[in-house]
Amino acid sequence: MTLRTDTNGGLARRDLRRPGWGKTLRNDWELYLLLLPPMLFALLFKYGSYAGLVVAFKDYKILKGFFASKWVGFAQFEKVFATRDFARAVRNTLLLNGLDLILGFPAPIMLALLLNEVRGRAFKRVTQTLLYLPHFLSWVIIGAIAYQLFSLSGIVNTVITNAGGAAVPFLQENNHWLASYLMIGVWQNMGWGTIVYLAAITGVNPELYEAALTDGATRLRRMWHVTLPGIRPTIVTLLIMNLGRVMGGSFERVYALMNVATTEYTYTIPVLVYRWGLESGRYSQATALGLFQSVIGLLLVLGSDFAAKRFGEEGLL
Amino acid sequence: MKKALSIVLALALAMSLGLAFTARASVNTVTIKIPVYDRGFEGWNVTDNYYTQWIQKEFGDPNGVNVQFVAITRSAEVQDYTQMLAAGNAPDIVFHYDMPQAVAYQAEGALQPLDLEEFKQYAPTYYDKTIGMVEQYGELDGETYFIFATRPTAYNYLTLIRLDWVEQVGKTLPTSLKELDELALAWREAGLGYLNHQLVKDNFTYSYPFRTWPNDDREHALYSELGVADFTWGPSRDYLKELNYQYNAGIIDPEFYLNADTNEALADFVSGRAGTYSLYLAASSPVISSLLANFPEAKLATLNPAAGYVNPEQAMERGYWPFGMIMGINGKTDETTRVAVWKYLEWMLRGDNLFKLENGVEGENYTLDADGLAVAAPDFSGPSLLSANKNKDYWCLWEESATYPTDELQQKANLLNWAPAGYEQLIIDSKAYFDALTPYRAPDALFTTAVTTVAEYKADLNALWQELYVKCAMAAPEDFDKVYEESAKAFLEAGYQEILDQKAELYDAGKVK
Repeated sequence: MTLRTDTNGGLARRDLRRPGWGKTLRNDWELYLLLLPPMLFALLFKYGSYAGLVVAFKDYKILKGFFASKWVGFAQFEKVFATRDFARAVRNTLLLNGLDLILGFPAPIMLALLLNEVRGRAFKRVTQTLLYLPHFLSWVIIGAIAYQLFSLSGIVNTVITNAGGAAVPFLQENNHWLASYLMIGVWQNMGWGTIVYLAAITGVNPELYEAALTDGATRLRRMWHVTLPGIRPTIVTLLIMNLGRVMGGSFERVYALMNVATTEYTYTIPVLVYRWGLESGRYSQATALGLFQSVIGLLLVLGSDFAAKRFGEEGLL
Repeated sequence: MKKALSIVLALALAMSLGLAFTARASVNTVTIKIPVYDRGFEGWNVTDNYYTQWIQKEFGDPNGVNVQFVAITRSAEVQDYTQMLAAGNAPDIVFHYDMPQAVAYQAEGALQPLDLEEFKQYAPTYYDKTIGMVEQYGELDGETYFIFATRPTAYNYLTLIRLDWVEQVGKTLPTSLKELDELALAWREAGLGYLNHQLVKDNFTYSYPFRTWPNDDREHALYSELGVADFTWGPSRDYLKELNYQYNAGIIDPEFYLNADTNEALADFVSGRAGTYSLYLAASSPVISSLLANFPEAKLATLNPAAGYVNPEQAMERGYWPFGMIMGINGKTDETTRVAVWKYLEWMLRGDNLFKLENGVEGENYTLDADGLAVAAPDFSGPSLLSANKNKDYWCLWEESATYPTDELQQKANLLNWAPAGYEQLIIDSKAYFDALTPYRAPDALFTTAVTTVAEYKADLNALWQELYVKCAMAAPEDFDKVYEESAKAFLEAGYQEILDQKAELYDAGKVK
């Protein structure tokens, strides 16, 4: 590993004589110790499992094991691409996550901007805490509550029908389901997503606000011309990371909210991987599908990173 | 302060690493791993309780055997087994209730061929009582792979119906599908409730009431498959057509597809939303007391199964094979361990062991009546409390329900076991209905080699079935034919055609019992 030197000179120039490995370790050994468990975790569970990808190219039988199973080249991929569910799963994955990105990505930014303008400290703190709360609920719980609230005989529909309206099939009809799915997602993620933006906002130079104020900028103008440009690098970074997930997405969220009457949008790649890999023991095909999904995800990240750089942003890599 | 923090951190890290290397206490005994279903009973530890400790003390310690119970999630058992088999830590007994899946385990190489002489030597009583079934059904491709627990006749699976509702609308208990539908319409008119319909999935026996008797052997072999719906077959079409009628007539829950498990159906029944509920009734079933707590005036009857038939004279019933639990021995189990497993099975049949496992401790869990039957003590809650299904998941290795020497005693015991106090008539009626249908009952065909396409497509078809059948049920009546035809085509394309082809080939080659 080589340490990157600061090309701008300044502090880094004085430090040209970099301390050796041993000395760094001795000086900051507590920090390295703290780093060790997460690094081990990442190595073991994120990189260690890479070897398992080999089953995508084999006719893997679990009782034969990795080595004894037969090599089949790309046959598993061909099989996967030929299945009836594949095209639908790809379409739905892109659709759900694409819409989620369009709706869910700007929501925390807007919320962070709004929260930033709130002046009452107590009110702000309570609001923030309440907004973080849904993030800590598991999707299984959210799914169960959603079906309690939004079933045709649930509280929400009871209120609607008693008020003279017609029951709304929030989760019982394909398009309604899609809308509910997206809204519930926004509700769950929005608050938590503000944390990074609020942190970024505190890094905006206060002098800029003062200057804008002197020039007579209104609150809205200051948000638009100072805060937003100030957090633009953060937004771009998060956008690139989110684009990488357009091909993946949450398995739990779809699985907890789906029901068998509204399957038009619920066949997604993670659901298929689960069904093939864990329910039917078709490990090779599930792995092939998972690998396909990851490769596309990686291409999306690289592509958006490249695009961001072309537009003059710093990018991620 | 900083120093102290460093030391604490270092210690914590060292401990966490050290844990992984903790040497296992070495024991000189042989360890057998016995599977036990975990059904998620509240407050019940399946692998460590009064009875597992008792087994260790009574069987394990004297024989130098460490009996380790391995929990198998009842609702995800194949998943559990597959993962444990892959990891090499599966139990020594690989069991399943359904033959095609048991055969699938064998086809994957999870089981070892059995030496029946060895089985006879170490488990003579067990051997004598089951060898007939083993010889008839235990062979695959020329070798014996399975032994079987016994399956005494059981008739406690029944449908409860709200008799007070039946009377309230001035009807009598239905004895045909037509009468059932009329009754449900009357319930709807009176604002009472639905017929319960639980989402059909995983186990597919729904089309039996729409099959005809006598049955065609080849069709029966091709289409009868517990794990795969016979979606494209005539009886299935008739079933779906009827369901479509019931849905559009508003006599089943409009959101029936959300009743994904039995708890939801149960909740609908005890809350008075539904007037029927199917279950394995047991003396300890809480359903009746829960219902009465909500509706003290509720009266219950057993619904005649004929109420599910279009033509009760010509319908067919699903029969069980004569065996209960199907057991193979893990391919990785060595001889010493296997012998200990045989000894364990034999021990269960010796002396009072089985009786204690089924009934608990005399004077605590139960008292003996004049006939020698165990009468359960009401509200017993001591340490020797039985599991919610009376420890069946431990003694299912030997039998599927408790047996008694004479028919009379058996019937009496069945009433004690299955009927909540004061509701004996439910079981008496159920037996009468069961007996009346006995001539029309046949078990699924048993293929003597693995139908590999079933294992391959089962999960996909299970998911697709749910989607398509719900679509068929919810279609407008005039669109039903179109929706069904399209769905059947999709079902065939998703792998069902391959299953049918493979089964036809095997059937025509005579590889079927």
